Amino acid sequence: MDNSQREELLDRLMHQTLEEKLGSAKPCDVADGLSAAAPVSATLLWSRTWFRLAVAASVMVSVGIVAMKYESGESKGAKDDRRSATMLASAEKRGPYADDDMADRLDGRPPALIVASPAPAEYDEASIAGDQAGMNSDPLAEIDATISDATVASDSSTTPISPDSPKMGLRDYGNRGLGGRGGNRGEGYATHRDSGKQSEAGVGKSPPGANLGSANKAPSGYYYHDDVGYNAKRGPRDFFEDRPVNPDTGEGRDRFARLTDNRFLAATDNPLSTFSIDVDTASYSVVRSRIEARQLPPPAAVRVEELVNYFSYNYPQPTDGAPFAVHVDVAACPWTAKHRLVRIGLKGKEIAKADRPASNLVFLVDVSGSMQPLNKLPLVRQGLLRLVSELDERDRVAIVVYAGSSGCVLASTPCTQANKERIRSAIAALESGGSTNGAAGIELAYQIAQDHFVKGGANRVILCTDGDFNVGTTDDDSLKRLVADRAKSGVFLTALGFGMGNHNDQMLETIADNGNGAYGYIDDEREVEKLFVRQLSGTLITIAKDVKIQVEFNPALVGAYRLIGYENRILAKEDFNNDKKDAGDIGAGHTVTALYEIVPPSELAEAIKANAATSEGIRNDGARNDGEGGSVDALAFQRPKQELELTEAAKTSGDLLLVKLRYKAPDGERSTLIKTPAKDAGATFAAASSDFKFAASVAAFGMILRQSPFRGDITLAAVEETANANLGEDADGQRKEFVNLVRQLRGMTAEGRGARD
Amino acid sequence: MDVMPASRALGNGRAVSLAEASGDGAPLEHRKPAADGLDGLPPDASPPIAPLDLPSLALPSLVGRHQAEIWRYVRFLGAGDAQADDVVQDTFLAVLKKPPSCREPAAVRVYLRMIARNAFLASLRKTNRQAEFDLDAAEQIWAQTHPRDGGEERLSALDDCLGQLDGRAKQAIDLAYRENQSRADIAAKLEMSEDGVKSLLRRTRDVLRQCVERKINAAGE
Repeated sequence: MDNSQREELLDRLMHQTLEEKLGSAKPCDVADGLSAAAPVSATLLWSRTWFRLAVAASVMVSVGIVAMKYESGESKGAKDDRRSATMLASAEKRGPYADDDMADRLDGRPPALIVASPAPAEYDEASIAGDQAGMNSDPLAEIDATISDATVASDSSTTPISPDSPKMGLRDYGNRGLGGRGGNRGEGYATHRDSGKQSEAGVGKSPPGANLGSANKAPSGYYYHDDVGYNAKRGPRDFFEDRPVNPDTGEGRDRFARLTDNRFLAATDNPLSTFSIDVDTASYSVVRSRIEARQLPPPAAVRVEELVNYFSYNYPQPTDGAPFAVHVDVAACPWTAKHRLVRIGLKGKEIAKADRPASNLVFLVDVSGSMQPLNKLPLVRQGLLRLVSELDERDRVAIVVYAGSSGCVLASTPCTQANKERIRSAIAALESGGSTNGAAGIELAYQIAQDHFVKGGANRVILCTDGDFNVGTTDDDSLKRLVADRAKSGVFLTALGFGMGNHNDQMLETIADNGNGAYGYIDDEREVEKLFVRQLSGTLITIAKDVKIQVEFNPALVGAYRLIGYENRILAKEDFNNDKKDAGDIGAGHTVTALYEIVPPSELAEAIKANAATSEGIRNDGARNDGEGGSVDALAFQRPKQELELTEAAKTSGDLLLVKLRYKAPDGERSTLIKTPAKDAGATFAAASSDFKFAASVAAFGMILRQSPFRGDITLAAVEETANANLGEDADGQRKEFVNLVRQLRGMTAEGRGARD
Repeated sequence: MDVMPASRALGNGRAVSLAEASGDGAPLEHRKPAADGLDGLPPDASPPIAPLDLPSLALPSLVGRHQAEIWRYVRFLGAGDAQADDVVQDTFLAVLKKPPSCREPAAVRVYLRMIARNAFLASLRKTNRQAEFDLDAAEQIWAQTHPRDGGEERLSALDDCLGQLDGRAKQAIDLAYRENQSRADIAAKLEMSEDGVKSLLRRTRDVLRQCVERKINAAGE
């Protein structure tokens, strides 16, 4: 043993001693189990063995009978399944872009061409070296295979991938071991729990040790979590997150609900636009994680309003005792110069950490097998540890886990300094394994929250999962009903999504909406900091619920309008005054922004012509914009409507629109109405506020990613320039990060390469 | 207030109770020492007669006395927390089958470490991994640094040594180990570079190690 090896081992020993002394690493206790094992007699062991053999034989016979039946008479359903699989297979052969407009995405060129761009310099050499060691193909050349624009993006159970295909095993966690993102300690040594899990999932594809990279490896073979292949800014690359890789593991099945962009509606026939607010920010995190992994996010994963609402805006706080204030601005639309852009901003009342009410929190943690990767359960542990460090003796914490069954691993415990160590130990002990019976866990979590209900406090279940509920109550509607029912008791739900590859975005958004909570997606440590530290009050404290907005447009000044984003938040106009109709909730300090693109009456004819060419005609036949548009034959039994008659207010007030907002107190049943009229002073986009311009650039970015037909002539270059010029204070660096993200996306596209060339 | 490992609360995870592993519950093949057997131990015998030479009354005492050391030891060898739990269980299951032949505490400790090391290697093999460093060297260091017990003495000595820390060294240790903060966060709080934090923590651990060794040596004299 040389001296350096000795020093490394001694340092390792001290590191682990410190972890045990000060941290959450504690020796296990196996005494009870072993005592139970000891008295087993040989006779008893024999009898058990025979019993098991008998059971196994019965199972084998049953399976054989079923198999024979299947062989002799295949059911129609099975044949249909097989035919569907064949159709999918033929679709696969035609290529991933054959069925949609993906070939035109972003720059009008097939992404297969896009990926020829060189790897950007941001990636460290160790990552690249490790990737090369772990796989034979260029990761960038695989991007085309990752893009999926479907409700069920890529169901690997029907994707005909041969086990011999080179794509099999690309989702090799051995390669992900490059970084050890999920190590829950910044300094010191990567937890071997993490590295071990990676290699297990890697099925030995990489030679042992190949995943450790080389450049920064600690001499002794164990490594610093943020040394090896770890991009200091963002963590390791995760190129193959939602790739349909392994039909056996089910990896590669992220699910996003398809959305159709809101269309322009004529103000004369559709004067009211009604929607529920959305404070979720998950979509931005998903987009960010994809782009930083050199993948284009599926358009279905891009919800423009969540991108815009990810950022804080400097709206003045409410001064009239209301829980929030409403602000409206109008300026020229940056992507279609003759149109106007309206920004409606809500600012929730801020509550200082010291003033926040007591919290009664139940962490509901998915510990099923799919939570094993580094960016799931290890990140959950890290997040919860961070959250616990922000809590104090006013608060209570319980932990419920669920997998094949559910259980309480920590009874509701006051968060005193003395108890924090036990809470941390319970969090650190969370381990994954098994299938996912989410509903049973939710039931138990709500029960515990209700048992320790704090009147006037923040009673909340915090669900941490990848959303893969595959046992028990698994359909969206049942879970929706369950959480909606429990929310009535005053216990709200926050859904936090983790990881990719099995992520059920749709499920999480649905249950968060119905549970009077928010949905966030945590892709790395920075998101942990944002949600659990900087925005702790907003995450925990709901200041108003069922917040709905209805905008009435003045037909004298508005020819047509389009709500940007909020596609799955649209309400019928009658719902606005219906207090039984559930809507979004707003947390302390939250800002919510909604953007409308407006076509002035003078531009309406041209807009109709332009939109007709894109088959996105301006609709004038109803409040909901879910039809196909097109002309309508003259009615045989009715005369055409009378000419529109404007009110005096429409003619003389000069108001462009009237924003009406309804909200309820967190424990209230009756809504309060706020009305805010807004005029258009004719401001140019250049004259708009910095926040306005930044929000517009984020919306444009979202529309580009969605390949929206309404994105006009905006380019990524313009988005980058506008955003970069309007960073504002940007104390937390989020806006700068956005600019880098746009830049990175440009680097992946022909647009970016053209600019460099 | 109950705190228990998640997998036990579930009753279906990997680290279920040993009662299950011994045949009271669901069969857990991975927990058996062996289709392939632990190194140095015979593979699973058939018929499965448990050679309970060790008096069952003595078993809890043996486990209670040594399980913490075995857990620390296998972590030192490179096991993650969960893997360490499994290896500890495998170790004592193996001891049930082949109890130590002598009762002298130091010899029992060496024997248990040997079993644990073999269990750890078997665990690595199941996942196609290899030990990340020389286990002989690790055993040598362990034996030198734990002359009398399984780590309690070191923990106690460390307690005193931590009390002697002050300034940024103390802050850095607290932030890194008590608060579980990342190196970047610590760097921001202490207004240092991340490399500076890394060096500071390494130096501080070195100081603590020397302090602990001094105290252990003094206690032995």
